[in-house]
Amino acid sequence: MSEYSDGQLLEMFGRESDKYRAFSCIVEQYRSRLYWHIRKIVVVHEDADDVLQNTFEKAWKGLSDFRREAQLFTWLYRIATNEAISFLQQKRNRSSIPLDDAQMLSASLQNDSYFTGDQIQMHLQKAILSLPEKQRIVFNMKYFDEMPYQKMSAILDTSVGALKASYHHAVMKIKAYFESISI
Amino acid sequence: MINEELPEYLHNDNPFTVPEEYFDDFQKKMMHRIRETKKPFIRPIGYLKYAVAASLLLLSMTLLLLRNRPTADLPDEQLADAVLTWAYQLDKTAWMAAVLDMDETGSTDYCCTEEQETEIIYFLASQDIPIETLMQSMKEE
Repeated sequence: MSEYSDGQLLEMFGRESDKYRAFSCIVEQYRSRLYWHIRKIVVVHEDADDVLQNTFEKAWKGLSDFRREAQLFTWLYRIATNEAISFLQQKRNRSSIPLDDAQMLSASLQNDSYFTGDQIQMHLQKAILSLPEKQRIVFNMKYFDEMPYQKMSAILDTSVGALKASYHHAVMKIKAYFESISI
Repeated sequence: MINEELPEYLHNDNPFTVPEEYFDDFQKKMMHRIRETKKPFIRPIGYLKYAVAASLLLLSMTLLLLRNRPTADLPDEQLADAVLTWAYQLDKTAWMAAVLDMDETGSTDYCCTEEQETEIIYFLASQDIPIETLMQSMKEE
């Protein structure tokens, strides 16, 4: 499938007869990128699948009101990030044992049949999961997705300076984590 | 390796996978879910804005007529009552929806009670101020 521009997709969505086709194209164009973004936050595949569905459902309901000051990509990422964070909060609240995100997600990671990384990657994920939420999201977007700070700034509504600081702190903590274990 | 400060044996390959055909299946599943949900509501705010403007124009004209009528030297309270009765004959829900930027579920950005609605209409009836200014002051309260 050839990629449509945001403008083309929104124009198509604005036509009643093309609404579903336009949304289908949006799902096709963004499902993978959004999935991986969500997956790194919630870790478990089944949870990422739920959050991704919720994200697109919200997008479907809100797209008529979408204002073109933001890019569609930015808007979708923002919904996905918020949905993933809310999902984790709900999951934490539902848990009968009081666990923080790091404990909860590390346990999920150990049992995740769709994690195919080696021992070093497992340690890296555990180190990432021990970071505060914002640093974790920033680190994943920068380190794995190699997303430019400007784009991250629009998605997370945070200044570039603050993002750089978050990333730096995250790197320092991960470095300290690896210095504390023997590989 | 994209960060020199991290140990060099680390790499940024994605260690996660998905079930086979997941993304294709997701597309079908998602579009099915979308078709099951209601069609997205397109807020007819553009039309409602015109409706509000027309309502306000009519309201102003009524006030003007009432105030200029020789026999209509009614006290302010009675005048407001007359306008209130007239204003309620309009489609109040649509009118208030436009004024309060209400969404399709009927919820508003802030709480608006029946009393506040009445207060808005009273206020409009007695003051010659732009609707935006009124709404801003209500929101700030």
